[in-house]
Amino acid sequence: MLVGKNASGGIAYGCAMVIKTIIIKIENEPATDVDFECQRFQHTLVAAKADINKLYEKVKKYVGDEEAQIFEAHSMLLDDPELIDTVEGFIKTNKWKASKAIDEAAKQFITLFESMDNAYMRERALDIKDVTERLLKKVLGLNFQDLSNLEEEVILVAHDITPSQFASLDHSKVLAIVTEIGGKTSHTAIMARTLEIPAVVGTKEATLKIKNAENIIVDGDSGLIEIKPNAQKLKEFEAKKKALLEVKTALEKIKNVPVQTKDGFALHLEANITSAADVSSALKNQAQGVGLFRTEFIFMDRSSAPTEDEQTEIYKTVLEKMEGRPTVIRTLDIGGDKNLPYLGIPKEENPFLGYRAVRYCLHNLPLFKTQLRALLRSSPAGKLGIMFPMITNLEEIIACRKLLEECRAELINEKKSVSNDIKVGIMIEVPAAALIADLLAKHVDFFSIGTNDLTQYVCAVDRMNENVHDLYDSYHPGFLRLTKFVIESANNAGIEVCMCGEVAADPKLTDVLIGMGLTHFSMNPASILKIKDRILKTDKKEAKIKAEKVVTLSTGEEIRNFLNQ
Amino acid sequence: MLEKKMVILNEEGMHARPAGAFVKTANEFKSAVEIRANGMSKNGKSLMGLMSLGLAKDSEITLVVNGDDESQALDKLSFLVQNKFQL
Repeated sequence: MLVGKNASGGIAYGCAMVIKTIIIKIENEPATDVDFECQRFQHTLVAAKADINKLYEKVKKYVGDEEAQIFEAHSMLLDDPELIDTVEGFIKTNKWKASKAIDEAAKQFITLFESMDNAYMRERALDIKDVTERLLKKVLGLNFQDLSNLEEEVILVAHDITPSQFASLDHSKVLAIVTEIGGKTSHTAIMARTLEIPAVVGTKEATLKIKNAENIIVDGDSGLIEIKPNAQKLKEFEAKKKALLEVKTALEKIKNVPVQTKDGFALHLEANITSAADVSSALKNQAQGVGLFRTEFIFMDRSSAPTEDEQTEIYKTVLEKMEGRPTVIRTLDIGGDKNLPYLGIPKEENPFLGYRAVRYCLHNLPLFKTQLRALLRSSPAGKLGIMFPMITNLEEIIACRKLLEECRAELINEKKSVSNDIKVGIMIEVPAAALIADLLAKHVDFFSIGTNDLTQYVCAVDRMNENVHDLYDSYHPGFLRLTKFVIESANNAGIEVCMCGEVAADPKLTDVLIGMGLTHFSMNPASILKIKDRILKTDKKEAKIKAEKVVTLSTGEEIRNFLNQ
Repeated sequence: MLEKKMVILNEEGMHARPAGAFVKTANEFKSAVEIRANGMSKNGKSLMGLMSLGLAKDSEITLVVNGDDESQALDKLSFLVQNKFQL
């Protein structure tokens, strides 16, 4: 049995597909037979082309024309006389083996494209990288695992899954996910929860201990993985799966019930999303709005920032799909654990205390203004809220609002339409900002409490550091007291207050938060019904007494015990 | 051998789609196709070659075609450039 962190709930039993990190070893020794190396290269080209054409057909059929075009371009690159001549030239002139020749040719073209002024052309370096890597793996006989075309249902076991790999997965074929690194708040975990795929992360040596094609049970609630389960374990699995299904069926029944406490106090349940595609799962779970659209994901896995037009299109799509429901879009929250190579943020000793989010954006105005303009341009399509992350002081709020007004004036000058009803809010995740929430409330339309970062900063714990991970505790009375203060400050000032971190989806804290006066909860779509169930069972008056009691207890342990009663 | 001086007219310059269209068309002919611009000369049947010229809107190019079907090739390719890479 293996133990990892329970990152996304649910249970699955199936065949493991272990993704080994492939190390490409170039053959550096001189070629003994030049003709043979040329032939090897030609064979590789033919085989790679066949693969790509297959991919093209499949993606075209199942995903769409636009997504398939990338493979058409890849196929053309494989036909390219410049590429072929360069590789063959290297083999013949330098007496290099095929892999070395391909690698050097790739480097030459990648450097050339990366050095171009034009952002679009720099992006093409990625295509060349992708194609030449495919060639290298083929020529060296390394297995190429394409995750976008899974033939059967599998449980993916990998060292890590990047956001782009995750996006390209055929989600209907993935029963569960197991990774070796990452925590509950890593991107793999967040995306798995959105898609309701059970996941266990931070499972040490998973790719060594689980063999490919072995049957395993993955329990995303407990974080336990059973390799080659016996009859007894399988019986337990079936029972648990049945129980989960019953809970799910029960939750389905409350889907269309209004969100309010037992004593009739209305609340708002909203969704956290990372892309326009997530909107459907938000609506499926009856989200009343989007409390957090994390825009950094649209900046990832590319070699330059998305343009104003590209961003406008994405924000507009989300607003349109939300059909007039309130939609809060957060400006770029980059830095910390999410770096983008093309932004050139230097490596820092303490990235979480460093140059990130609004701190970075306020120093990089062209990038920031591009996003603000795109947000404003999309605003007529729905009910937009703009949220600034990592606010530390009032000066930052004033600077952000001023920029926003500048962008608005520019757009009106350019005769572009902008909504007059845009709410402007901030994330409360820096303790210094939380402690002056009463003062900041006068300058914004809403607060959103980012509990993941706020807990980390209040407890002074790096949540990725395994050695101090235990100190990261959202039940710490210090964290709960601060949360209460923020909620009360917002309520006193008459502004909206939302919570969009993991704590919002913790059913044990739902009534306590309602008792503190929280009105808006935003979470991954899969948790919405679970929290709704808690809300329906909560009595606001009792919750208030409970909230008052909780903040008088001295330890996280005491609070847990009290809430478990 | 035939030569023709031309100007890139489409907004986005010689990006993947226009370059792709050019390469596809160039490959329909037996003649060798060459594009000269910015002091460089690249194989007109190579997507990477064309794109690496980094041609933006208003760039001046010279089309050079050499072979049995050179006049048909030049006609079709210059029409393509003229027509912003739409056939």
